[in-house]
Amino acid sequence: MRTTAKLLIRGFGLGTLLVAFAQTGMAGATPDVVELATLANMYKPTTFDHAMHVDVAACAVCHHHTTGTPLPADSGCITCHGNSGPTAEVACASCHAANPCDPEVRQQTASAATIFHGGDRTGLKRAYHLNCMGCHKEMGGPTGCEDCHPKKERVTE
Amino acid sequence: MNTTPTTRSFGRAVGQDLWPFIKSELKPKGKLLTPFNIISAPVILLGLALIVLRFTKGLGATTNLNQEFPWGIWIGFDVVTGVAFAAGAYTLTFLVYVLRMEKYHSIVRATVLNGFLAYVFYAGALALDVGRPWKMINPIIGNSFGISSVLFLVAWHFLLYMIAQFIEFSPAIAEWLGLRRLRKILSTLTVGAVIFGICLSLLHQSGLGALFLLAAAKIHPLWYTEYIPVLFVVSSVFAGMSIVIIEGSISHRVFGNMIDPKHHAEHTDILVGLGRLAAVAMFVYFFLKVLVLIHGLHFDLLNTPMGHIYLIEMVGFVLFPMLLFIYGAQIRNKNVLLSAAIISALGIIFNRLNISVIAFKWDVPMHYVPSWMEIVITLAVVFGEIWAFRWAVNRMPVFVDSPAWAKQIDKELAEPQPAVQEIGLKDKQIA
Amino acid sequence: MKTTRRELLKLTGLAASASLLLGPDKAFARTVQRDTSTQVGMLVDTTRCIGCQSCEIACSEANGLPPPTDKPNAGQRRTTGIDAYTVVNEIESEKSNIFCKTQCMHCDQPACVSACITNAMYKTPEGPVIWRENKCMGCRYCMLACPFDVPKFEYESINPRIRKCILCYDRLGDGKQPACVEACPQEAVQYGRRGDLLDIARKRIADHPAQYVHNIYGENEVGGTNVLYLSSVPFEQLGFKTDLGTVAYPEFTKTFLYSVPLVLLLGPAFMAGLRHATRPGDDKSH
Repeated sequence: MRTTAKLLIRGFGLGTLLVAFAQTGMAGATPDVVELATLANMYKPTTFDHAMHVDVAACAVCHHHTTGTPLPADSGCITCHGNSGPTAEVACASCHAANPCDPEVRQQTASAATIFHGGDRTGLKRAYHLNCMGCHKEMGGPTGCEDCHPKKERVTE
Repeated sequence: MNTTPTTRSFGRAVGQDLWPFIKSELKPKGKLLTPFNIISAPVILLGLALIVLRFTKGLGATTNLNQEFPWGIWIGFDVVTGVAFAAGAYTLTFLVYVLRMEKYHSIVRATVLNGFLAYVFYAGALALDVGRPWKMINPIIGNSFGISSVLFLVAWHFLLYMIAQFIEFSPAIAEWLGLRRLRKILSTLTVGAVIFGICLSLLHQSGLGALFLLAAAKIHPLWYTEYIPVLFVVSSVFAGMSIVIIEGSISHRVFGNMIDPKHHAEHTDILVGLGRLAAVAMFVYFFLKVLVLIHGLHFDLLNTPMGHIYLIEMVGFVLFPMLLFIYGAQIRNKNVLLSAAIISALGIIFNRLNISVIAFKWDVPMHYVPSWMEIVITLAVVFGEIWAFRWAVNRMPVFVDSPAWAKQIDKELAEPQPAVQEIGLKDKQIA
Repeated sequence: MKTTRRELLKLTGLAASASLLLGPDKAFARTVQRDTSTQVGMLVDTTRCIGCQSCEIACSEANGLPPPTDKPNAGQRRTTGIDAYTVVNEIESEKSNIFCKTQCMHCDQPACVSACITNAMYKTPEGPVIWRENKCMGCRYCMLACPFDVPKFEYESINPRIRKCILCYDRLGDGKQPACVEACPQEAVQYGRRGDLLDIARKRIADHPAQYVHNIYGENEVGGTNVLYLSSVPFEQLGFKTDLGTVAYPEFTKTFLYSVPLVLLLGPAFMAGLRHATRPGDDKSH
C-alpha cells in the first residue's frame, strides 16, 4: 500500500511535468512514472511505472521505432525506419489520437498514405490496452480493468 | 319481440318534446331477457371494466402483446377482419347506385348501417390498441403527416369513409327525426358519397393488406407476396357478401315482423344473387392465390405445418364454400347459402389472423396467444356493435319501409332528365 | 340496351387505357441509391470486441437507464429492450468466442420511418434515426416494420414510449461522440462519416484478408445502413439476417401508395360513367 501511495503522490506531482518533459523531445531522459490521464471517462487516471518496464522490455516493444531502436528484422517498422533516428515525440499520445473518431482527427490521419500510419491508425485507448494487456497476458501482469485503473465515482445525469 | 318504430315529428316540436323524445328513444324496446342479451350484457360490462383496466394499468397488464409481437387480435381481428366484414357496404352500394341493380335496394340501408357501425366500433377499437390514443389527433391535424406510411392512408380513409357512410345513412336518420327538408338535401348527396366511399374502400381494404408489405421477412412465404393488397380487396368483396347474407338471415328472423312481406319474398332472390357474386369473387381470389403460389415456387413448403394451415385455409375455407355458394345458388336453397357464408366468413377470419399473428413470425419459439382479456374486450366490441345496430333498427326506417313523404321525395328526385342530349331523339316522341 | 352496353364498353376501354398510361413505370420499385458518405454512423468490428460491456454501461449512463444486469453468454441470445439500447452477445466459435454488439442499425432508408404514421420516427439529415416523443401515438407499426426488430415498446406504462438507440443524437451536436464509442477500450465500435468508415472497413479487410469475411454487413443490406459490421465468421453465425436483400424497405409500399391518386382520380370518373351508362333511358327494351 505504501508503494501505491508513493506512486500516487509522485504521479500527481510529477506526472504532468514528466509528460510535458517527454513532449519537449528530451528523448534521453526516460521518465520514472507516467500519469496516463488523457482519457478519463469511466476510470481514474493510471499511474504507470515506466522505470520498471524499462528493465522488462525493449523500448521498441511499446514505442515502436520512435526511440530510434526498432526491433529486429521481422518487425513491420524496419522496412521504412531501419535507419530513422529517434523522433521528436515518443509519448503514445503523440501518434495515437485520444479522439480517433473525431472528424478533424480522422481527416489528419486519413491523409497519411502508408499502411501503419494511414486512416485506420489505432486510437490511444486501444493502443494502451492492446500493447499493455498483450504483454501482461503473456508475462503474467495485471489484466483486470481495475488492476490498472480504479473505477471513478460516476455522476449520473 | 320488437315493436315497429314510429317516426316522431321531432322537427316540429324541438325544445318541448326534445327531452321526452330522447328518453323514449333510449328506452330498450322489446324483451330484456333474451338469450342474446343474457350472454352479451355481462360480456359488454366486463369488457368495459377491462377497458378501464387497460387505460389505468397499460397494455402489458391486459394483453399478451410483447416485443416480438407488437400487433395482436385487436389489430388482426378487430380492425383487419372487422373492416373486411364491413365491405358489404361498398359492394352493395356499388351494385345499387352505380350498376343500378334495384334487386338489392331493400337491403342497402341495413348494410350501410352495419358498415358504418362496424367502422365506428372496430376501427374505433384501434383507440384501445394504440399506446397513446390522445395523440391519434396528430396525423389528422397536420402536425404529423406520415405520408410515406400506408397506415396514414388507412387512418385517413377510415375517417373519410365513416363520414361518407354517415352521409349515405343520414336520410334514414332524417326520416326518423321527421326532418323533411334535410331528408331531401341528404338524399341528393347519396350518390356522391357512395362513389367517394367506393374509391376510399378499394384503397383502404387493399391498404390493410399493404400494411403487411413492410413485414417482408417476418410473414411466411406462402402468405407474403407483393399482391397482398389485391388479395385483400378481392377477399373483402366476398367477406362483405358473406356478412350481408349472415346478417340478413338473422335479421329476417329477429326483425322479421318489421319487414314487408314483399321483401321477405325477395329475400331468396337476393341471397342467390349475393351468393353468385361471392362465388365469382372467391374464384378470382383462389385463382390469384394459385398464381402467387406458382410464381413463388413455394411448393416445397406445402408439406410443412404452416403449409398444412395454408392448404386448410385455401381448400377448406375458400374452395369449399365457393362450391357451396354455386350449389346453393343453383338449387336456390337459403340454408346452403347461409352455410357457405358462415364458412367463408370463418375463412376470412382465418386468413386475416394468419397474416397478422399466425404466419407472422411463425418460426419464433415464443408465440403470441391472445389473453382472455383481449378476447373479452373484442367480444364486447362485437356485441356493442350489434347492440347499436339493434338500437337503430328498432327506431329508424331500416327494415321498415320509409314513410310515405320520404318515398315521395325519392320519386321527385328520380324523375328522368329530359332526353335532350341524345342525338336524334330530339324530334322523336316516345310513344 | 345496345346503346348503354356500347357506352359501357367505351368507358371501360378508356379507363383501362388511361390507367395503363398513368400507372407507374415499373411494377416493382427499385431502391434509389443516395449519397450517404457524409452521414454519420458506426463501424463495429466484432474481431476486436472483448465483451467488457463498457459500451452498455456508458449507454445506460448517457440515457438515464439502469446498468446491465447480465453478462454476454454464449448460451443465451440477449436482445435490446426498453432499458437497454445496446447489448453485447457472445457467440461460440472454434478459435475463441466472438462478441457482437447490437443496436439500431440507423438505416439510410428506414422501414420504421416509412411506417410511422405521425413522423415520430425520423431520419435526421445527419444520419441517426431518432424517435420524437411528442408525435408518437404508440401504434407500434415501426416494430412490425423493422427488419432488425429494434424498436421496443413500454407495454407496462400508461404513457408508453418507443425505446431505441438514437446514436446519441443529442450529444453529437455538442461535438461529442456516441457514449458507446467513447467507452470502448478496444475501438471495436468506431464513429465517423459513413464514407470514411467504409474506407476503413475495406482497408482492414484488405490488410488482413485472412482475418475477415470479405463483406461489410450494412453496406448494402436493406438499401444500406449507417451501422456497419465486420466479422471473422459468416454473419449468420453472429445472428445477423443475411436474407434481407438490398431493397430499401420503403420501396415495398411505394407501388401501392402510387396507386392512390390513380384510384381517387379515375375511380369517380369511371363509376359516374357506369352510373350514366346504366341509367334507365327512354330505351324500352330494358
